[in-house]
Amino acid sequence: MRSNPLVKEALVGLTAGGKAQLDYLGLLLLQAVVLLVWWPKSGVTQALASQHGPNTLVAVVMAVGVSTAYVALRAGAEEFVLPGQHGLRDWALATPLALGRVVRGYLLGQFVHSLHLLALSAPLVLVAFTVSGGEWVALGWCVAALLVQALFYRLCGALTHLSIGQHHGETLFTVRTILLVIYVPVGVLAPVTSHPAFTYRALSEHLAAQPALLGVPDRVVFLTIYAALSVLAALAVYCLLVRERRVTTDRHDGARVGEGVTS
Amino acid sequence: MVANGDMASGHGGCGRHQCCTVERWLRCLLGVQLLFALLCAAPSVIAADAVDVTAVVGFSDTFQLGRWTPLNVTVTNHRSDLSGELEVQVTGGDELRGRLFVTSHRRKLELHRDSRKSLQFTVFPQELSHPLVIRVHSSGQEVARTQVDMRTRFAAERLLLVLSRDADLDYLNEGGADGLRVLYPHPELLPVHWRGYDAVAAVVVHGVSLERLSTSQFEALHKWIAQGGILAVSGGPNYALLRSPRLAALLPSQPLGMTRIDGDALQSAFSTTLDVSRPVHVNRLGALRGRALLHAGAVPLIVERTLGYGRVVYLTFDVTSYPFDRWDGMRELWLNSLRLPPPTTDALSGPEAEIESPLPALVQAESADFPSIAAVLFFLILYLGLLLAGYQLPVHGKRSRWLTPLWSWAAPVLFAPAAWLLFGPSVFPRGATAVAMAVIEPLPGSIYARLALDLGVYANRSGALRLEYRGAEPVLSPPRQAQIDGDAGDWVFGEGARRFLEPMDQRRYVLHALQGEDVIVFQVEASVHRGTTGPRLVLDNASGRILEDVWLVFDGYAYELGSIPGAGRFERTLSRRAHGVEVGEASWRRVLKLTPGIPDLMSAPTRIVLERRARAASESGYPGPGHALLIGYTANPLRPAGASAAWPRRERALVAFEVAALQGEAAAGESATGVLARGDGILGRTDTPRVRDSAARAAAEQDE
Repeated sequence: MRSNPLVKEALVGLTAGGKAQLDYLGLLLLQAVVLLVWWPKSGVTQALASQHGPNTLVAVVMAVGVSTAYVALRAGAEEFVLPGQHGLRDWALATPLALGRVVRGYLLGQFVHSLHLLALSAPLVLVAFTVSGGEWVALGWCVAALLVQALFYRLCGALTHLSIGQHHGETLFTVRTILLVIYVPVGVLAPVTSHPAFTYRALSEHLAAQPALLGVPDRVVFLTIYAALSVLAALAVYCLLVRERRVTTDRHDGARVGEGVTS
Repeated sequence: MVANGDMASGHGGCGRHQCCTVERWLRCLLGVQLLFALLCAAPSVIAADAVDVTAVVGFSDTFQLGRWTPLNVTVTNHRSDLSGELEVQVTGGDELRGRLFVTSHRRKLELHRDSRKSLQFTVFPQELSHPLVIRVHSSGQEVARTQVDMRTRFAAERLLLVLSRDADLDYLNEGGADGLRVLYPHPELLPVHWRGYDAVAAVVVHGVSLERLSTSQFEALHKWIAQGGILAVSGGPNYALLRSPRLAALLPSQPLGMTRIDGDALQSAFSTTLDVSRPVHVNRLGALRGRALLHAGAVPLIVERTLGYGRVVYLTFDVTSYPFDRWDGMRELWLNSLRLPPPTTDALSGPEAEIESPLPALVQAESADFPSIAAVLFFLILYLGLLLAGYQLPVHGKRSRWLTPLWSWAAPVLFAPAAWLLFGPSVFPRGATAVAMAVIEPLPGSIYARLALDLGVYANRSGALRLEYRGAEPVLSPPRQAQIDGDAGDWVFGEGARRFLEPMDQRRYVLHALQGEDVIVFQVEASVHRGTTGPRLVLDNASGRILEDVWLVFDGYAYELGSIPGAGRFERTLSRRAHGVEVGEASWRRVLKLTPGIPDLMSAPTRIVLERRARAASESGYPGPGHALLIGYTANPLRPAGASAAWPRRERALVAFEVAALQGEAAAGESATGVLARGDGILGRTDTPRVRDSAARAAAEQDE
């Protein structure tokens, strides 16, 4: 994994300070606010009287899900890059690396990036976990869903970048529209594709009351849908990169490909 | 032609050969099909007869609705060795009030091939429309199932049990809710839990030894008597039975032999309608531990003793022999001797006033609460501040460059376990909690005490919530208020290596509550003597449990007594002026507190149970007129065990002992060893001196 230059670049970039980290710090602040707002204000007795435990964990995991999706989209659209990190187009056009390797490295790099964001959010999630009473297994499923979802959004961002990346304003608008559309109307119309709905089903107390809803198929469907969409998006990214490389090769007769990187 | 014929014959032979082959194949196919059908059918046929389940509900298959009742289940195994579980499902609740709830009683079941086992459950049938379901599971599969139709087995009348081979007391049968239904159960099928006698008005023993009962059956009978049951024993020529250890421990007197009474004496004792033409032999009694209700001259005919709140009546003559077998006055004699109390209402009847549970108050008083939001805020500021500082501070020089990745990963890696430990195990541990409020009311003149339990379990995580326990064996049911409101949940009660209870609802942050009753060994005797300046208390604590924060409420004053050791005598003369706090009839319950300085919140559960108890005794008052009440705390008799032993507990056990006050100062030396009576209780400890119930003593003195 570390032999892939894109992964290496992501690892190095994550350990350096920069705008990307500060941006995510802002999102961490947002997650902290969510944690405080949803923190139980009344005591255990009141929770027992109402027969409803705190929904702190559900709220925080939802917030982490939105944050990572948003960061992944923006990173995919290359609104920001990690310190020392190159764009996808640069890797495809300015290096002789096989495109398959580039895409693989890109996906792995995204995975490492999401893991880092999760690690940053972990203390908040664990604080919420202590009072909310969710199960480790259910939390694991939510984290897996979050990672797969982030991958999909990263690729959506990459597609946007490769398609209309030269138009900054449109890219900015498209990226946010994708997030909004998939999160709100699609999530409402097809709850099985919604990460908030997935989180709610997995972590809220609703699960114990209706164990049938908790079934593994429900979780697998979400992961399968997003994995399948990610594969399609990765294929689309690959095709776009192939086309771009061919166009560039045609334009320069392929003579000077890789000079940028080797120099 | 010949050739053709040969050919034809040859063809014919060939055709026959083919026919034979086809036929053989068809036969084979048929055989295979038959074998297949047999293989398919055999398991179900075998399974159908493999395990038999039969059940007897109540006594002689008769029970009363809304009363605890024994259920004897017999399982016969005809197949290979069986290791599984026997489950009895009882549907309760009222469809008109709300949802029904199911109570499952489970026992482990191990049966060898061609063997039989009988198990007894104590169940609470509440409605007739749903049958009792009895199932046998093994390896996750149901191997036998039977349903018991309750509609054909219930009786409206109270039950009178006659343990006898030949007695006929059918003349006591009377229809209606206040009436009696006489039953003749087999002694081996008597309840193993005292609550199984819930529907029983009295038990009559005639010519049968109680030694036939198992230890648990005899203990159940004894406990039932102690908390208000009536046992009547008929004498006769075979008085050796009455001298057997168990009956001897219960009877008011031991028969020493027979004595002759002439007809006139009998007629003057009973009635002139008693047709006596020749003398009758009755049991001659030894020392009396009670009082004689009827006697012919100096010969006692009916004697009685109290045991706790119950009574044992001993008729020294044979009730089924001459001249009583033909006397019309026997019914009246029985009713006068038994003096059956009026029927009580069942658990769900009675006033529908809101019944407050002490459990929420107990949780509030003792439960660890959520970590404060200020602590969370402080933690977040620290964490986010460190992250921000890490990203903002420039790292100079090559030597410090290694700090950058460390800074990026170390903060979350360090703070994540810190968050878990700080807010989790140290402040708010995840898992289940048991909540129990027990009220122990010692039964006067008995080694037993009545135990009323409010029991709850809750968890701050979802999942199965099985509480294993020991120390008491209460019968448990959803709280009355939950049943009235129609929101009682489904429960599983199990017995095996350990007793356990488990709510079927696995949601977190739900307090699953139960109410339970039991009679436990808890020997405390007390007497309160009314004095001119204040009461004098003599208390003999043989319970082995320390009584803490004890208060005495008497005559409009409450006296704080402190702690009383687990064994020994406590005597104190109290002065109203020096020790008493003047209290009202109801306000005394607010005076009680655990320790000075402890907030009022802590005494709320105690107040709730005392108010509930006072409401139950509304007419007679609590404490009743001429009575004193001792209140104290002790260790809870029901304790989580096994896998639940480590559960956090919020519990309190209150001892509430109502004692009839005696007039005048206690005589010198009169205390717990005042008037002695032989023990009522544990066999083998019958020589332990007991203080007799003051009321019984007064009655005995009156008789003398």
